[in-house]
Amino acid sequence: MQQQETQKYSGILVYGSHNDEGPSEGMLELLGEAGRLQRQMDRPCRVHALLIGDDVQRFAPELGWNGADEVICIEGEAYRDYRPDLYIDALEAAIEQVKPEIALILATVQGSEMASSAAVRLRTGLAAHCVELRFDQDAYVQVVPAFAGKILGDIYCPDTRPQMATIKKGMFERAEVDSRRTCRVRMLEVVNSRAFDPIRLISSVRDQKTEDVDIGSAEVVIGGGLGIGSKEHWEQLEQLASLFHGAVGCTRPALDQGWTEREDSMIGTSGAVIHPALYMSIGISGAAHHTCGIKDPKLHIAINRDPHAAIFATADIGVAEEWDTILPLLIDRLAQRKEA
Amino acid sequence: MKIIVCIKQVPDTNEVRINKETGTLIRQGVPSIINPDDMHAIEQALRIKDSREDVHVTILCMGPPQADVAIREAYAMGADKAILLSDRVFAGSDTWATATILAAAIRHIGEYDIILCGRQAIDGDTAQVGPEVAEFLGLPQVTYVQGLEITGSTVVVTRATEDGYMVIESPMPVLLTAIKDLNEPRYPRMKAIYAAYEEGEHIAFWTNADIQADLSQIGVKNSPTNVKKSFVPERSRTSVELTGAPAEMAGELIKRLAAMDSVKIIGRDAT
Ligand SMILES: Cc1cc2nc3c(=O)[nH]c(=O)nc-3n(C[C@H](O)[C@H](O)[C@H](O)COP(=O)(O)OP(=O)(O)OC[C@H]3O[C@@H](n4cnc5c(N)ncnc54)[C@H](O)[C@@H]3O)c2cc1C
Repeated sequence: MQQQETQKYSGILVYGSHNDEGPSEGMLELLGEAGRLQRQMDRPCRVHALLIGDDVQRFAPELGWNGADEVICIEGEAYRDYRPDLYIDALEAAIEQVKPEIALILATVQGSEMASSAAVRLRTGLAAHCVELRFDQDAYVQVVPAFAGKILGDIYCPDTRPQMATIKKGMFERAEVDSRRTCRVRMLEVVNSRAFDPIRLISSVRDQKTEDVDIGSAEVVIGGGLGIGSKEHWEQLEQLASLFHGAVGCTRPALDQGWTEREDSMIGTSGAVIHPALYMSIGISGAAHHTCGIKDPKLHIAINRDPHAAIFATADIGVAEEWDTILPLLIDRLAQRKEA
Repeated sequence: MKIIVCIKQVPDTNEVRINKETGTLIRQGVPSIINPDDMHAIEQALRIKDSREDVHVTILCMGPPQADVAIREAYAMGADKAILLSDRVFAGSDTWATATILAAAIRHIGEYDIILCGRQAIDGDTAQVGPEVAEFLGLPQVTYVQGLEITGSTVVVTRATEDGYMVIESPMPVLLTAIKDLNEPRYPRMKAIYAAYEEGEHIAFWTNADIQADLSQIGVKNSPTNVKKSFVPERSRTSVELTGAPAEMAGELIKRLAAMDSVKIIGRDAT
């Protein structure tokens, strides 16, 4: 790799996502992590948050409260809907402008593709789905999972900048909101040199979201696996979750069975990362694909009739029983309790 | 119409065991498979071939010599040609360098209208190589493709998003990455499996001498990222196993739940 003048790069650039109401939880989590890295550095470092979209400048203050020192806005009607060519140009332009030494990009469907393309254009390295970021002496280390999280690797990107990483929602914690914090706003115009004219968005469809609790931010998650056995049984998980105002998550086989329609509730490498206070896994075997989506729950209770199930190795309390002997009792008793 | 499908041979992750001391993979006895998402990419290319007269499908795989099994299997599913890219100088390439090599090979093939890749491989799970190849070739890209139609000189692609889907029209040539929802892969045919093991132009083995990738951009030394160390994540939970009658266990669980500050039991009346 050709050496770049790495010392010309400084600061951290964060790119996440937003909806009509504001920045996503995932974006705020990345800002939280950027702040933690910033504090570990012994050189000046600013946190720059990037917004791309139509009329997004209004979200800048909230990014400031959550840790951004500067917000870069690339705005315009052309950005109302995601178009890979325009958005990749935008990310590239922002990085060229800021010259950050570190870039954190939320691993959404679009973020993953944008980050990959931008890394090629910028001739720099990209680490996928990092689970930890830290400094080792002076070197920046990006920890990535392989083989569904069965092993982790320390990735270094010594010679090129920025050192780019994609990160899944739920991996890090957001910072304490400080509404006195202000941040600079910089508007950036992008010349779309590489846009492919005929790329055209024909339509964009969003599934109706139910009023359910978002699994990524829920304090209580009840996870169900193939051991639940049927769609009728699945309702008991919903019942149990509702007693805590919690969310129901699932494994891939349970989703494939159609016991839940909510694809976004699948926990694991191909799905969501959760960090609840309480995780209850029920009828789940504990494959690495699933367990690497469970991040530091305060308490993990596993119910599985197979006493040798791998899930027990990741749980705090194990109940080796048929789930349907325990769950109805739990639901019954919890339903009678009210918050003290 | 010319289609190139990029595939990777991977160890079946479900079977993979890890050496806890060294933090490395125990490869022995682990079956190698064509990466699952790549199977959907192959299938889609073959469906396009089934639907019109003029389609030529080339399979392209970078990997060690043993990956010949993967290209032969892909060929036997119905492709016209399969190429294995294998060379010592490729070893240790990260996604950036791998994409550099694949792009060089695709340029060497020369003509293409659609390049199909799987969305991501189950070993590294990066989802980076497809977009990176597109970028090196200066092509438009659509990832997470769950539906595909060809209309004249453009493709109309349905792409999954976190909360729905988008329909995108793109000119060709274009690079697309396939996901599981795109199709159901077919099985190879017996006769074609035999053909896949016969010598001929349909099965090709290329080295860097063929594709002329820039040596200063590939391999372990020239990859922008490198893995210094791999290790097994620590799971330091000491689990307590509950015993007793179901009612006792349920009682114990409730006690533990009630003791948690961050868990609020709202009960039924509250909802
Ligand atoms: C590339 C790839 C990506 C994947 N990504 C994901 C992912 O993101 N998330 C995910 O979850 N999976 C994923 N998987 C699948 C994953 O490998 C496992 O197959 C899956 O997690 C297993 O789900 P399960 O525990 O529900 O089912 P099983 O492994 O079948 O386990 C069911 C468990 O239920 C128990 N059980 C049965 N009956 C009862 C009963 N009456 N009472 C109590 N216990 C009972 C059994 O003892 C068993 O342990 C992926 C796979 C691949 C190949």
